[in-house]
Amino acid sequence: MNFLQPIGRVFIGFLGSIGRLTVFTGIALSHVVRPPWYPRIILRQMIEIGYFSLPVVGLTAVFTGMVLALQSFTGFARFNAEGAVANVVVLSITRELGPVLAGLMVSGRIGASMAAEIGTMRVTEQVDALTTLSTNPFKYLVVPRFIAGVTMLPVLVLIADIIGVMGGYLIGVFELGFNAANYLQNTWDFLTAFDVISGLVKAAVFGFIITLMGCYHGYHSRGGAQGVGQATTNAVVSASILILCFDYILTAIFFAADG
Amino acid sequence: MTETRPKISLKDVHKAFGPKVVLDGLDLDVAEGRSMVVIGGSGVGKSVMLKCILGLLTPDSGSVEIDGVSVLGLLSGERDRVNRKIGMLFQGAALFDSLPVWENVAFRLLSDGTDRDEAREIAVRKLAQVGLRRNVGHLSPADLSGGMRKRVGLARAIAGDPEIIFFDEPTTGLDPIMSGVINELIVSCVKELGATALSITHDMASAQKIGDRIAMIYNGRIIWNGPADEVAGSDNELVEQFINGRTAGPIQMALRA
Repeated sequence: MNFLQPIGRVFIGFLGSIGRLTVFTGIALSHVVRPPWYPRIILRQMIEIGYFSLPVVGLTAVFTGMVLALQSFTGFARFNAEGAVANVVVLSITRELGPVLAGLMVSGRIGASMAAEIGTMRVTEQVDALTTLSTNPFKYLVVPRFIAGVTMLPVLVLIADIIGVMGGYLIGVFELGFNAANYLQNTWDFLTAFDVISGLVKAAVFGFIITLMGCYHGYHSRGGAQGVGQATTNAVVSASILILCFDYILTAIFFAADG
Repeated sequence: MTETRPKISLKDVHKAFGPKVVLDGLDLDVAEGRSMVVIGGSGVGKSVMLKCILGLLTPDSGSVEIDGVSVLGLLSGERDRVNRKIGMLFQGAALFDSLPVWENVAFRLLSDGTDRDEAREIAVRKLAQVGLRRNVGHLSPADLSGGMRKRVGLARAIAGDPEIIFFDEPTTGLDPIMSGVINELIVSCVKELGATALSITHDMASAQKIGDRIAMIYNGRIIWNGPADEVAGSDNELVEQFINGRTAGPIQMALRA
């Protein structure tokens, strides 16, 4: 029965991690609704997450829109449905690819940076210093990142939606020979508010996941540079996996609501 | 003559991490306005003791009192009120990398809502008190040398005019001259504020310079406590071995493979 021991150890460790994460989330959320808040730090985090992520999210969106237009044209041409290219591009971008790809890109950029920054603060006693200076580390480090992540991801995704559709438009009009006015008309006709809103809700959830994973792994990092490196890796990997899991869960919920 | 209440009092404090017992019934009193230095080897529980007083760790049992009031199990608001009496110089200074030096020094003032210009002027005065010029205030902590970081850490510790100041290995990693400068600054700052000081160190020169009293911790307990000028003449063989840095004696260093 010895072979069961490592399995049990891993399982108990996993349950312990879930418990710690739940407690961490509960404490952080309780501080979100209780003053004091730090507007300057919230603003700084919003700029860091929103403004400085624009290039990477914008580039991802434009190329995704362009590839979508080309691929969907190739597929639809086989049964003479090329006219659906604009619809496929706009629905895929707004409902699925915009939030997921933006989430994954921001996870790599921001989740890693949060885990590294808070992890370094932890191992160099800066987190302890906050406590001795009568400042709650959750309020100072975690809450501003939560607020910035949950508010800025939808903004980024909205911009990514527009840029992604524009990428599809450029390929559709200048490469595939669609009429510009018809392409835009098709895009607009088939787009509903629900498509956009469902994508933005996903983005807000992904923003929460990214900041939660970045802060959690950074806050619990141990053991110097190696520990901080491990925390950074864990933050990005766990956020990416959770984004894909929650993408399915949210899509299933929206699918049921839309149907 | 009446017995005055200690400013800081630890009674029978125990703390273990899993099977490793770090504090094993530690007792220590620090009188108001006095400077106590706790000496001891690496890993004997000095930092754990300090963290128990600061509320960063919770002892398994025992009591920790400041001004006669237990500081264990306080709610965060109550703990914040206690922490407002406290200044702390960390071993690596623990300056916030994301803030310029002056904001580090004025951190507590800014958190309390002090006007930024006023807080900056106070920070400049505190920096001057530790021998740093105004222009240092605009630098990033990453631009500072080890000695300057310690000075900025000291300026931050005294910025709120605390009643109690803790010093964690204040001279570790510094050259002898800079160690002397830091020791003198600690003495002058503590005297100027009339504060109670508790330092932990294994630097005997520093301990004798900054302490009125010295206590030695070994195996999680205080095994010697007396005036700083008597430590050199102590007949306690543990103290005698430690202060003379002898490898042979009752203190056996744990060697790891």
